[in-house]
Amino acid sequence: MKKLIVIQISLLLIFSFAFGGLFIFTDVYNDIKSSIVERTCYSCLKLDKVSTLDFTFETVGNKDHPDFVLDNLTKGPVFIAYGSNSCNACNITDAVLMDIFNVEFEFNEFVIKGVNFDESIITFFHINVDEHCGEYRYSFDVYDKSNQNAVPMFVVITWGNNSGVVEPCYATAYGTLGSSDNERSDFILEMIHLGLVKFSSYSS
Amino acid sequence: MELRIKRLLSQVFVFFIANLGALKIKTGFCVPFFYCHSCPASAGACPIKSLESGVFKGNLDWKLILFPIMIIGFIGVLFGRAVCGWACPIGLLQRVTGRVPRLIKKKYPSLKKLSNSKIDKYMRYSKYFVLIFLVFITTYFIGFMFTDICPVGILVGTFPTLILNPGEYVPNVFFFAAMIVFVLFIILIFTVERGWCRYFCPVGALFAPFNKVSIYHVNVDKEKCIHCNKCVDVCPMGIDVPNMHRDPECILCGKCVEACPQNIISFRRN
Repeated sequence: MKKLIVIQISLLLIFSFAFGGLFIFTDVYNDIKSSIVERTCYSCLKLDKVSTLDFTFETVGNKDHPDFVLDNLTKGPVFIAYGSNSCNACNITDAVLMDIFNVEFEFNEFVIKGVNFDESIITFFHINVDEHCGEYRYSFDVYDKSNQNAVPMFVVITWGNNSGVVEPCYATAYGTLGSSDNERSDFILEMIHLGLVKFSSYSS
Repeated sequence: MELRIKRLLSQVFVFFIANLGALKIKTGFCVPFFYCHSCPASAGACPIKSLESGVFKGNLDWKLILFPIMIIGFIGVLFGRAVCGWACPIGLLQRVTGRVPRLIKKKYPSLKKLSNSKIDKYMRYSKYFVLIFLVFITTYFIGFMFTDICPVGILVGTFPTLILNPGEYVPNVFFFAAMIVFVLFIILIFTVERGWCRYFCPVGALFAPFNKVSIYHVNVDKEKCIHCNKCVDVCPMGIDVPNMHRDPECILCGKCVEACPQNIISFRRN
């Protein structure tokens, strides 16, 4: 009996101190809150948000476009793929992106690559919202137009005519983008194509 | 107040706490029971998802592994697997569905033998297999996660999202695999009382070993037992109650405590 009480007290002390230590001295609470509780992963949800490729000029909360987007928008449209850690929906779409943009990357890697499409350059970004911070993480909130706070999310940013003024515009898509790699590839290529058409019409 | 009423109140109370996200209260705690963070109203994270995130594709993050284990460990040392019987919303669901297998058993007594067979005994190890293999090993090596096919995710995450946002979402590739598991889950809980807790719940597998050392536990005075087996009949986990001592399967529901005509089964604190 005494042995059991010693074990119980020891375990209680170990668990409570370890839990308290993790809670106070690490950022695990915020990590779990922001990456698991508040953000949805479409593989956990087992659903995709219905995505339409409607371009809009209005960013979420009328936030400014991030500098890295504006800088690259001078060369051509910008395509951003947002993913997170431990998200299999992101893994599925990453495989298609690697094929389209001819680039190899891991789920937690930051990628920037200029790729030629129809004699135009499109700049591809892969951003992991759990790993990457600063304006790359900020851009996720700028372009989340359906207020999903969910991954995977894809954005193409290009130029458009806003009542006579040429301004950056963007379209956002969510989820796995189809039931097969071909469907996903077609959807992404359509996003790219629309971005390129608008870019060639308004960039000059 | 009767124990079963107290337990019902406790389960309903915890259900509301787990869904405080509906009031925009979202925390970074892992809930110490089986509930999905993809539920639109969820206030905390699924402990299994946190564990998976901690080992995903070989990228070890000890904080994400230790955090839910510390929460479950602390509660486990205090109350053992009582969370399964007194708090888990899926336990509450099975409390309702459990009436069906009970009625089936009454009608077909031969099924009783099946649930007391060796198959049942060995099937109970499945939950440890689910925990070790589908939560840790496949997640670590190939990135396949239990939460991608989790039936509870379908029940509390997918369905409510579809109902609350008609026409806004469509099923994706994970939906169909998870639906198959969900249908099996439904069949299971309607045919075996507490079937999910007995055989497959990975959170139950985390809690179960703590029954061996928990401060609160169910105690049987074996010497005074008259072997009427009333406790065995009411036990939702199918435990051989008169011969149990700190059984890892016991969810401390207290049904045996209430059923014992000799009052020799009791909750103990030591």
